[in-house]
Amino acid sequence: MKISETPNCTSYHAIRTSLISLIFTPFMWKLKKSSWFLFFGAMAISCLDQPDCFRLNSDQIGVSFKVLGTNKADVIGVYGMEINGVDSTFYPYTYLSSLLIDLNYLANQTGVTISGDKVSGSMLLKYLSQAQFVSDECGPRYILSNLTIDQQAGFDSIRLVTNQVNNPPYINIEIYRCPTTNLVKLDFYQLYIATNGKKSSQLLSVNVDNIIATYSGEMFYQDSTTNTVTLPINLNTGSSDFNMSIGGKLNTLSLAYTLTDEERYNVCPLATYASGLSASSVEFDSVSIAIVDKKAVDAPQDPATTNVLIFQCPKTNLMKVYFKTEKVEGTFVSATVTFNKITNNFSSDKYYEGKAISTVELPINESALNAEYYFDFKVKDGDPALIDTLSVSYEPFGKTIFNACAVQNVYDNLKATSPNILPSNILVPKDSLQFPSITNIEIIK
Amino acid sequence: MALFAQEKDSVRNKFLPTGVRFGTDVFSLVRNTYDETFKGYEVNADVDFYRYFLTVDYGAWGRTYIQDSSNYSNNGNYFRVGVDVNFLTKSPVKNMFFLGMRYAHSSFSEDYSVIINDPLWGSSNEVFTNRNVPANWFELTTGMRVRLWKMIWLGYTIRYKFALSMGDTPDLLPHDVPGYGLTNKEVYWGFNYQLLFRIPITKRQLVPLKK
Repeated sequence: MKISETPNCTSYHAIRTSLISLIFTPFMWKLKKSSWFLFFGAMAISCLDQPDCFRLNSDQIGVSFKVLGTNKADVIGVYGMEINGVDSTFYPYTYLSSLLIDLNYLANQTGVTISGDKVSGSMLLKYLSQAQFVSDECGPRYILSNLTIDQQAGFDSIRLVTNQVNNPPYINIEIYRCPTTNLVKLDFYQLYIATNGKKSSQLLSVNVDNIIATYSGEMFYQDSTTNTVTLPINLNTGSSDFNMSIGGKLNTLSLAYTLTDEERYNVCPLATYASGLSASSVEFDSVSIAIVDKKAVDAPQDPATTNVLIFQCPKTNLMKVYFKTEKVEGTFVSATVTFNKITNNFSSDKYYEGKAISTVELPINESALNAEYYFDFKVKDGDPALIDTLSVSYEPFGKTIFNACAVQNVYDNLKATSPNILPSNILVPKDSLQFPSITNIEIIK
Repeated sequence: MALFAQEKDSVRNKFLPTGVRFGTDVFSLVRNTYDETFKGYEVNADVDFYRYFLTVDYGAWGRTYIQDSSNYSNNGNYFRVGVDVNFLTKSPVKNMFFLGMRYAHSSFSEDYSVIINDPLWGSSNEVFTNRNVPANWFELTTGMRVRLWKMIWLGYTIRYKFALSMGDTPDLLPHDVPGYGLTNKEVYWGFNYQLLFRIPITKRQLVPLKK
C-alpha cells in the first residue's frame, strides 16, 4: 500500500503515532508532561501543512482603467478582450473598471488586445514562469514573476503597478486614457425639512421625457427615470442650453463657462477645457454649482463629477389622511380601505384608483381656503355606492423655508368635517401641512 | 592557594567531554519500509561539555512521485550543526531534556516531467531539472535523551525549522528540500526518533541503572 503524505494524513499519522507510543511506552513514566504536550503538538501541526489543490497557479493579473488627471477609476464599455493564441473573446460587451488577464504560464510572454468604447489597444507582457511540483494529487503549479510591459500600442498611457503576480491577483497594470473635457453632471435634489426640524435635501428620481442640447439638437435620456444626468457642453462657445422635459414640464437649463486651450498631459493632444461654470434656469425651483470641501466644482471632470445641483422646493400643499379602525374599545389600528378613486372639487385629477391603502396624500386647493374630497370606496357587487365627502379648510401664510425657494405659502389651522362621517370619527392630530407630509387627519372607519 | 587551584581544576574537569554518542534516526529507517515515495537516512552524533552538547547530524533523502502524467523525484544530502543545552543536569544516569539550535545546509537535485492539458493553453510536455541547489535554514530544537541500557540511549528531537533560503532555480521552484521538507511553508516542523550508542572517552563511569 502506498502511503501518500497528502491525502492520508490521518492514517499516516495514526500509524506513526502508534509506533511512537509503542516504542516510548517502556520509559514513558520518565518523561515530563510538558515534553509530551510538545510532542503531540508538533504531530498535530504537521497534519495541517497539506496543500490545497484549488487554483494553485499565480498566473492572473489585474488591469484597471483610469483617467489621466483625476487618476480616478474609469468605467469603460468593453467590446472584448483577446489573448494571442486563444480562440476566445473575454468580457464581451461588458461595462467594467477592471478586468483579469490569464497569462500563458507555459510561455514567458502573452499578447493581449482590449477593445472598448473609450479605451482600445494591445500590449505584450513578459514574465518569468516557474513550475513547482505540489503533490501527487495537485500536480504542478506555476508561479509567474518579474512581469514587464514589453510593448504597447493604442493606449494613451499604461503603467506597471507591480511586477509580482499574486494569487489572488493584484492590480498589476493601470491603463490611462486622456480625459474627455466636455461632460457636465447634474444631480436632482428634493429639499425638505427633516423630522428633527433640520433643513435637508436628498437625491430625487425624476421622470425625464427627454433632454435636448439646443446647440446640436442631440437628444439624451429619452423616457428614463434617473436622479442624475451627464450632458456634453459645447466647447466651441462659452455657453450651452439644454431643454429638459421632465414629467411633462419643459425646463431650460443654461450653462455658461470660460474656455481655454491647453496641453495638460504629454501623451494627450491639445484640448479645450471649460472652467468657471455657472448655471441658471427660469423653470427649475433652484439651480446651483456643487460645492465640495468649500470649493465650487465649476469645471467638467472625467469621470464626470456632480457640477450642477437642481433643487426641487418642498411641496407645502400636501396633507395626509390616515384611515383607522377600532380594534378594542379605545384602541385604534390601521385600516386598509379600497378605493375606486378619490376626487376633489377643484381639479379633474383622480387619485388612488383601485388602490387598497390605509394612508393617502392629497393636495389642497392652493387657490382657495377650503377643499372637498370624495372618497369613492369599493363595495361588493350589488351593494349601493359608498362615497364619503371630506371638507377641509385651512389658512395660508407666507414663509421662507429655503432661501433658494424664496417665500412659499404654508398652510396651518387645518379643520376637517364630513356630512357622512361622525364628527367624533374625524381627528386632526396635526393642523399644519408639512413636507414630507405627516398625518394631518385620521378617519375612524 | 591549593584550594583555589583545586576549584579551578574542578571547573575545568566539569567541561571536559565524557563521551560521544552516535546514533541514527529510526523514523527514517522505518519509513523506508512503508513509504514508497521516500528513501533516506540520518545519522547523529553529539559530545558533551558539561551541560552543553555539540551536535552534528548528517542525512540524505530522496522522494519519488510517479503518476500517469507526471514524474517527480528529488535527492540530496544535508548536515546540521549546533548546540543543545541540557536542563536535567542532576540526573544521575545523565538523562537529558534539552533545548538547542542548529544551522542546516542541504544540497539537492530535482527532476520533474509533467504533461499539461490546459483548456486555455493546450497540451504541453514539460520537463524541468534542478541540479545541486544549495539550501540553508535554522532550527530550534527540543527533545529528550534517555539511557535505556548500558551504552544504548533512546531519544526524540522536535525541530522548528525556519529561515529557509535556496539558490537560484529559474525554471523549477523546489518542492522538497532534503532535511527541511516541503518548501511551501516558511516554517516547518520536524521530528526524529533516535537510537544512540554512547562511547565514553574518560574513565568516569556513569551511575548504573536501577534494576
